Amino acid sequence: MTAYLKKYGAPLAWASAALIVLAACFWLDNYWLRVWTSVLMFVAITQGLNVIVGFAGYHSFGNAAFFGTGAYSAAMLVMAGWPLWAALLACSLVGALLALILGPALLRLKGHYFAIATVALNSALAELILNVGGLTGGAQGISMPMSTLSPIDLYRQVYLLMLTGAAVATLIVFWLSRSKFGYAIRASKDSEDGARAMGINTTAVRVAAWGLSGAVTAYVGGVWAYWINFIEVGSAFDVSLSVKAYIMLLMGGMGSVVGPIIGAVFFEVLATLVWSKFGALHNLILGVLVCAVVLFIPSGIIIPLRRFLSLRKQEGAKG
Amino acid sequence: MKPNLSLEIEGATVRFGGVVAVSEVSMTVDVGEVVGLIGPNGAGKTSLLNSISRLVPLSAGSVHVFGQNITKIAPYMLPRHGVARTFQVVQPFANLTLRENVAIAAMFSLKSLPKLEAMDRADAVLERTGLTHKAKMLPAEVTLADRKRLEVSRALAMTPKLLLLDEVMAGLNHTEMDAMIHLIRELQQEGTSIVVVEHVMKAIVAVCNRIIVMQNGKKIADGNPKSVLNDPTVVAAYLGQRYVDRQSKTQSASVSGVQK
Ligand SMILES: Nc1ncnc2c1ncn2[C@@H]1O[C@H](COP(=O)(O)OP(=O)(O)OP(=O)(O)O)[C@@H](O)[C@H]1O
Ligand SMILES: [Mg+2]
Repeated sequence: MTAYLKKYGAPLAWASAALIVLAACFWLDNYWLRVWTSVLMFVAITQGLNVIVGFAGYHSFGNAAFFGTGAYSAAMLVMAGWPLWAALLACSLVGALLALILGPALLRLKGHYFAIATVALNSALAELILNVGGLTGGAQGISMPMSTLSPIDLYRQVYLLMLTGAAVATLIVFWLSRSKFGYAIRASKDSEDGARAMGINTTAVRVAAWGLSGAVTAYVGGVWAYWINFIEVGSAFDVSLSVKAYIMLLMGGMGSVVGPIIGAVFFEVLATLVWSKFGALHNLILGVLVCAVVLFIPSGIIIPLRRFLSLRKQEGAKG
Repeated sequence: MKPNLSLEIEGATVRFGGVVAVSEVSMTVDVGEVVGLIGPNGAGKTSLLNSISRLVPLSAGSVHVFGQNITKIAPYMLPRHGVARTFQVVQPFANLTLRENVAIAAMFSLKSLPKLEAMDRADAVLERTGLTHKAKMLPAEVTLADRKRLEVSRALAMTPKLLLLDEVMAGLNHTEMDAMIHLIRELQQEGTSIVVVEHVMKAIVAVCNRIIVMQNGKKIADGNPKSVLNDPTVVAAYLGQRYVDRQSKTQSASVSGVQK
């Protein structure tokens, strides 16, 4: 029995969790459906960030650049008459391409220089879209046509689209945690010279990681544009989005598969509760909480959680 | 270049700003030969290895391995030319186990190996370097001597034809050092060409067919161990009179000599 559990326990747990999350959209009410859609959105963004920050060790504070790029590409394509699914696919590709084109130059920068450069990239893209005008709508933004679906069906559709993003992003991270490509990224992070001497093209590996991160984040941006129906530069290229995802990653645990999910769920649900109960104090309370987590469990919730679970297992074995 | 050379360096010069770390050094290593590279601290030994493995650029000169010009190639291409190295300042992948560290070396070097085969190769190498019982530990959990052995293990996992060792004996005790000397001899018997950078003279004398001495970035001697170690310039620049006196007193070549 225990051997059986050991072998199939983890996949079973994942499968049942996936089923519950999938079915949830049919019994959640409108309010909680929106909350959980936003949670799933942040799970996807945080996992996307996990790829470049947790695995590659490059602190991309400006990943919002991909979110905005995805939102604008998807919105413009939908306006041009593309079906939603095609627009979402294309906007992920645009996100990946952006990372692949700029990566070789930007990923040459180390530490905080890279972080600052990504923030600058985000501002530059926002500025560009404001000034190009035309199809991008410039300062007016883009209003997309109303969906023909009923509100609840629309919310369910968006929920499922975000769930897809979160699931794919998590699968990518899971793949990184055990594949050869994942080893190449992690080796490059720990010792660049060591990795290169062992035959790893560290630049290419990093650029590819950023490409994955960009694709995931841009997809989420595309779904978000469809969700809120109206986009403008300020909310699409919002650095605080990356910062929030960064906090979730920090809280959950960088470089782990489950950590970012826990971080995103914990933070977003908590933020919603605090906001609904305390209103004006909400930022203060969250700020204090974030400081507490970072001070007391700097490697994220996942480490003490794992320890707790393995303790429980041992006790279970004894009893 | 002669067909039986594994390494041929011509006029290599390495500059760091105003510092000339390596100055017009030329040297060769025959296939299957073990060449010692010695000299005082800051002589430029590590810089020369770094320029061979393309981690620092040459400002002048050229490097050929097994007849191929590698002066301009990307550093990650070196394993594909059969070259592996260790780092004097160890460069472990800190968040991965020793086994994974070694497996990564196997995975991406000569021919790209599937993950499971690379793990098997890693196990075989760790067995050979005596780290099997620590395979599941992280680099920070083992001693410095073990981390040095990890450096060697990773290089071996790449099945090199030319191996560059940078001070792998430093920090090892006598037993560990003897094991390392034994390992180097075995590798030579298998046909591997080796460059050994080392301050431990006992090890140099025990394994080298030839010795090259560097000082202030320049090559000051190159020849068979006996003649080089008795060369007055070498004694003056590096070994010191004490080494020579001790050698003649004990009549033995296996006294450990100059330490840093
Ligand atoms: N990255 C670097 N930047 C600037 N100077 C450097 C760098 N690396 C080495 N040097 C300088 O180059 C010279 C040669 O150093 P190198 O490390 O090659 O000597 P070494 O022979 O390996 O010495 P040791 O026996 O102490 O290892 C020294 O003067 C050193 O300070
Ligand atoms: Mg050195």
